[in-house]
Amino acid sequence: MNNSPRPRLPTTRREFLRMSGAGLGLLAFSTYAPRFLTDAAAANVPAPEKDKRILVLVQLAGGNDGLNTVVPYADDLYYKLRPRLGIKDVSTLHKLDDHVALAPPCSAMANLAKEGKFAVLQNVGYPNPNRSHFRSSEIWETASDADAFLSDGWMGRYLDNCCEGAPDDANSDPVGIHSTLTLPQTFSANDPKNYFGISGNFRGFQRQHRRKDGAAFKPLLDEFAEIKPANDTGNFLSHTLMDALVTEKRVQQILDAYQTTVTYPNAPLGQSLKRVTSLIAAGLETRVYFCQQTGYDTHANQFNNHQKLLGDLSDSLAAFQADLAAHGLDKQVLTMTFSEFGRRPYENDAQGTDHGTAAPLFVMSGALKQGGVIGEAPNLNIPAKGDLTYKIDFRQVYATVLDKWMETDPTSVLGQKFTELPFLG
Amino acid sequence: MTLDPAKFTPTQAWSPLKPEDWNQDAARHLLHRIGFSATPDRVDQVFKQGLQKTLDDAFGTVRPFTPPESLAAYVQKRSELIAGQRMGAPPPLSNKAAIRIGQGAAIPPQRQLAMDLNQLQQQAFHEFVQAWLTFAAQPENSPQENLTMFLANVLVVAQSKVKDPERIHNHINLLRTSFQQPYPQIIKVVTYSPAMIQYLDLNTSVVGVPNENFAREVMELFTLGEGHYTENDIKEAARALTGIVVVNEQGFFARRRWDNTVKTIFGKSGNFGAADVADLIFQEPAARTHLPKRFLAYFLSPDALPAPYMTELGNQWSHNQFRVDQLARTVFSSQLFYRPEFRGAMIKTPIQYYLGLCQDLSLDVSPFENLVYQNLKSMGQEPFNPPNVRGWLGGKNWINSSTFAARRQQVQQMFNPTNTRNLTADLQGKLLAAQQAGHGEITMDNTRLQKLADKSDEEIASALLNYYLAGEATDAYRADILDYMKNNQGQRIELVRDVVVALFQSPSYHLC
Repeated sequence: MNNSPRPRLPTTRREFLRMSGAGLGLLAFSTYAPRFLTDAAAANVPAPEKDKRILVLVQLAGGNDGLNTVVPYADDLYYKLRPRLGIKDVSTLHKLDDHVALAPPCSAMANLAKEGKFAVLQNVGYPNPNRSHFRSSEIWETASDADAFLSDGWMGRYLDNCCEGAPDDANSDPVGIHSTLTLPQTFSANDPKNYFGISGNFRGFQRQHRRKDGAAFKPLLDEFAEIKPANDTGNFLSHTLMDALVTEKRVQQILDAYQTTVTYPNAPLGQSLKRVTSLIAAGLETRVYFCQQTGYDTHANQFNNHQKLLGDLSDSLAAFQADLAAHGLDKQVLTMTFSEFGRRPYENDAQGTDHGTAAPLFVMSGALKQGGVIGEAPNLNIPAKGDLTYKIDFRQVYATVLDKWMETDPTSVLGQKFTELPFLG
Repeated sequence: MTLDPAKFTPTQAWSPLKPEDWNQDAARHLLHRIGFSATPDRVDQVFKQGLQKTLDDAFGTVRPFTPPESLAAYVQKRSELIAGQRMGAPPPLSNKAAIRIGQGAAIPPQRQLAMDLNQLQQQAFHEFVQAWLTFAAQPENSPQENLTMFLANVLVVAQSKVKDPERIHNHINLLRTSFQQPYPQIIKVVTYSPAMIQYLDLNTSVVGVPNENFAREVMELFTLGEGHYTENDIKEAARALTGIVVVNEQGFFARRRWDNTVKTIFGKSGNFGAADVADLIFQEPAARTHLPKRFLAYFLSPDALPAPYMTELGNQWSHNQFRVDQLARTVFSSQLFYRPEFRGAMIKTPIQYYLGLCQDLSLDVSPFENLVYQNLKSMGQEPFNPPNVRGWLGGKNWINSSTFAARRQQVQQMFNPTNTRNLTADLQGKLLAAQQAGHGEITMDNTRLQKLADKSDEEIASALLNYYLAGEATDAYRADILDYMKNNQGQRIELVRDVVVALFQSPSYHLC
């Protein structure tokens, strides 16, 4: 392999620096190197690679029914609102306190809550709620007021802010990784970013041929990506493609090599989280990950479908946390769920629930300051066909995460001040 | 940006290209920008027929787009469902909905109707998009449809909110058929487009409780730009714009919902209505340059031009009664447009990239409408469904590692022969129907590559580079291709395939 007449691209900055150190100048292997290489070479030092905290966002897409997730079993009104959907057998529930319990399939999450590694934030929403999937997701992902329209996501804004002044890609690794097929709006930013997608059908595309002399042949696209472009736009394209190719190879190597004793559920969420663990454990400098579980839009025949989703969520999150712990990373990672809205408190005539407003949100980490339930059980004493009222603005959660976890000024990202919550210290 | 208004005056910039500067490269540049590709035969044709004739062909007449039969079928089904609902008869349940609901569930008719309609809408929308792509892929339609896409990215509506594919089609068709109209007139007509009425909430804007959504966007995004109006102008314009509703899929002025009192907009007072708002806006100087700026950002360069050039272009546009086709003619025949720094310096939109591939490879738009839609979505552009009212920001925003991977995946798909045995009966039927209609060529198989493989390595490199790359074909590309062909193991046809695939995935091919 190493007798290739043209050296292959380094796949990490460390590898690059090693090669440079060994006397291979930048130009020896590329007429046009990715930004991270040139920037690192100019600075002649690697960017700091200390133990940075990592945020993993898990979107429960479709609008999760809060009342059948965190069940207010002590409230008779719950059973009145849900004559068919209500979970009547209290012995199957996992009590969090004297008011609420996690649904029957959520034993793993309940155990984490007991250990203080899992917190339920009650009644999270925002004023003047919107019931459109599209619009409400946008409000959550851009962290806007209900009547304002922002095009950049809250994490995109965070990355725009925090990385201001720093060389664009002093970091070889993507700043954000998502398991979704398309870039989540949460990540959309004003300045182009090195994001990377690891959706279910991610795989390396390039065929590796062999030279006639028997050596491995570099894929032609790698060669093309190194050609010096004629203008600024071409420059940007070459950089991005080069970054993508390098990351793709690296990610593929990591995913292929990953071994764990923890069993993850086979559904997409568990498999995405397994990939995330492998990437974090491999030391990627990526600080934000975005995963998704779909299917929460339960308008009809909700019960079994919804409980199955919750079981998958619970087991996937628990496997993720256990695997992180096995690597000693459980205190370095914070996981947070969100959903565009909760569902109506009263069940509909198709044994389902329609789009609602506030709902519980979960945070999970070995570094939580306070686990268990934060906030009161929802007030179900509402007029006929009424809806739940939010108690925690979702941006309070974001503000807490930005301030206490990402260590940045939350107002610079959220545009206004929000009271923080006690789950992080 | 090397442009200096002192050396290259604005008047000079927008004056017609000198005949001696019209050559094959200029023709290629024009084709890349007004349409989706510059195939050698088209470059030849355009060069020979000249610039004016080319622009006449592109913008001289409106070419009608016929929506697919499935859209009419959807409209029919929609009215049946709604009529059946009014009569109290349970509407028929589609198979998919029945499976989703599960057996034995008692779904009330109202809910059933909503679920069925939703599903029909989605499918009809994807089929509409597929038919539109097929239309736009015809080279003679491409400039018109690219211009329509530009207008649709200014006068934005999105399927995610509008939902009904007929409304989307009607709105797009309105834009398509009005590019020879003055822009103020287009604004007036768009104010009554049902999709727009719904998308920007005009239908909820009533005397006493005006909704400012449309009034704000019409000034901020459609006509003036931020900083050229006051919050009070928006409030007052919103009152003038009350009373518009949708009746039988037509925009309709309901006088009793209208605020019938005096408003003050841009310092002028009167009992204004919707049409007055447009007229008042176009008396503002900023209206002269706002659409031209957006036009140039779409067709010329991601970087804004120095102000003197915009002032001059805006003045010329206003002398041309704000006609969009006149704006296009001024820009595409100008000396400035053909300057070297603007060539090969724009990033193709995903739609441009996909249709450009189809045209460059002489392939048909895939008949698998859901796959086509999904691919474009992965590349970051769901047709007629921009993420918000600002439209797609374009330029560098198109490109990140995910969208790059999606673009590469698109190329791979076009080079992997379809194994028809693996297709569902439904897809096999679609492919067969497309083949019978003469639109069934969807992959580059070896037969198609053989012609290229029969050439020498040098000829292959020259052909590929001269045909397909927008910028100057660099020697580096040639050297890489020759090296790959010469030193690699494997069957010649496979090597040729590798080279072509890599070229269509290469950074340069994303430029136009």
